[in-house]
Amino acid sequence: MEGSSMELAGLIAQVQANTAIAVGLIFVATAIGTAIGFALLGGKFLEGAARQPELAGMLQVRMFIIAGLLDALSIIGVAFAALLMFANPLLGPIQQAAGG
Amino acid sequence: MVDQPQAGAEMARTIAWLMRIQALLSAGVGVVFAVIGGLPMALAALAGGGVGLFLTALTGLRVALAQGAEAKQMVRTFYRAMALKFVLAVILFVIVAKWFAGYFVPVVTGYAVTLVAYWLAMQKIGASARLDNGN
Repeated sequence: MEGSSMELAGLIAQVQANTAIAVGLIFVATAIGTAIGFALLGGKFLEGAARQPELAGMLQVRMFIIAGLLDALSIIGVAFAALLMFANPLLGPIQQAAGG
Repeated sequence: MVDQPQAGAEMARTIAWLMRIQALLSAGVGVVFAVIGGLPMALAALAGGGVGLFLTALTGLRVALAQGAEAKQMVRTFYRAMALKFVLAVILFVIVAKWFAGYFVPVVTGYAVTLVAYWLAMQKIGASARLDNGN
């Protein structure tokens, strides 16, 4: 009885450890992707505004729209990371097996 | 040649248009999930759409505050707005993940659908630019 509960605890710990690694990887990938994207976007905006200052306002509107698309995937990644951290669905089958 | 008041008006119009389309898309997804899985799924989809709408409104207003400033100030405000967007996205999705733990697919679908509005806005801007150029 004690052996099986130890085995179960080990299994849960393994899933949680792998989930923590996955969440870390999600944050790293999204941070790198958005950082590069925003750096390019800001740089090009400054370049355009320096060439034609009168177009800066118009460029800002376009930058805002592109930024909305740029951080879309990273925010979806953050959403999945939040799910894995606070309501991990991968633990469900183990808990079900333990209960049943 | 685009002057600053005109650019400010374009910014305000774009944000208002984006939010309208996002609200419509969220409502549409909410109805679809209500038909598929009932009220809890519809509420989860609406929560996801609401997060997208709120983040768009907040960043739009923050970015619009820098209208007419010099380019350096515009970029600074833009980066601050985006940082705030990320922090708020984390907080909101943690709350939503706790509330709708069993209905996360509708939440993410509701959020992802609001992003379609950005593609549509790009298409709209491209079409109006083509009209201005007479093509």
